[in-house]
Amino acid sequence: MRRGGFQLMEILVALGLAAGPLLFIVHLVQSSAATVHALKDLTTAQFVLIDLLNVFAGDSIEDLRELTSPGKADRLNQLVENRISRMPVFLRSRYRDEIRSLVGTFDCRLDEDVDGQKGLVRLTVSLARATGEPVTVFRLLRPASAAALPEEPTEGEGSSQ
Amino acid sequence: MRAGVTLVEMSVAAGLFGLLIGTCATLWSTFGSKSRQAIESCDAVHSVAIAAEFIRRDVERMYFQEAQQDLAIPDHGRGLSFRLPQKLQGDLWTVYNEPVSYYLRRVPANVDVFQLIRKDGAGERVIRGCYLEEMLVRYVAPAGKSRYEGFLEVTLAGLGTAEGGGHYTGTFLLPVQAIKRPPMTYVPGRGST
Repeated sequence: MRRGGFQLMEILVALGLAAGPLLFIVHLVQSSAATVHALKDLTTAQFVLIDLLNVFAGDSIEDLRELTSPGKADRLNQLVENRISRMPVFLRSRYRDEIRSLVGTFDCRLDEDVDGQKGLVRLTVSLARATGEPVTVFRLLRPASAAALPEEPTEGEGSSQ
Repeated sequence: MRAGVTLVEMSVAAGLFGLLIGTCATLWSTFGSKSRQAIESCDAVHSVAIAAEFIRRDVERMYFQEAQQDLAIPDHGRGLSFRLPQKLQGDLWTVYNEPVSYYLRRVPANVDVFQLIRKDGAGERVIRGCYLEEMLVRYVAPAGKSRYEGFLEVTLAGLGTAEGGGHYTGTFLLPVQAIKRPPMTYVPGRGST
């Protein structure tokens, strides 16, 4: 005698057919969220590097040469650390969490007379990320010589009013 | 031969259907929460970027000669005031410097969430799409010789929603450059030699 009910195999096939698209949607949502976090980390890295370029955009060509000489890029790490140390405690830990994807030390490069234009320099700052993919930002500048810049202010970096 | 469905089959089918619905609901809740967190996190970055760009745009054009006179940072750094040169009108010898202030104001529904307010001669304006938890502004002098007089260090703790979801903390150094006054030129009057 044959019964007209469902067989276990039929039910399993039906479940498999239903679960396939469901798992695909789950995968899409998960990868979308992961991409969002990766882009956020990339944005943070770019914010940090652009910010450092802003600091050095006003420096003289002699200072930029010194900054980009081998072993001097530690100053950038020091700058970032100084700024973190000036933050209130609750923001300090949060900011450290934001920049957790940035690892290693900064790398700084200066290309002078870019495209054959006298006085035009390209300052490039890059930093490794936890993903292994470095992030690089550059800025074209026309720095003045140290002699043409105003005298140093009386207060050092870190002072505020 | 029976063509119907037995009670056991119905129970098994109902159980499997319940399992499927339960799995869907769990996934919906888990991944809905994950994607909501991701969106709020992005919105928090957006809040910080908007606030920083508004302040940067004004600071680039601010009237600045000396920090003590041309810059006010009230409320322990939670606000910023300066003057902004207005467009030249009919009289080319007169430039009006309009006071501009940035400060935080609490969102009525939530005591820990603030909106950024920009106040100028036209009145107060809420910067839309920008929810902040904290804003700290400091004036920082450059370390060595620099073409900049100083920097405004703006630290912003952004939020994704007015309810306080999503967090992002960013810090920005905005260069401050002194306005160079053009040399005064003697313009001879009519009939003068």
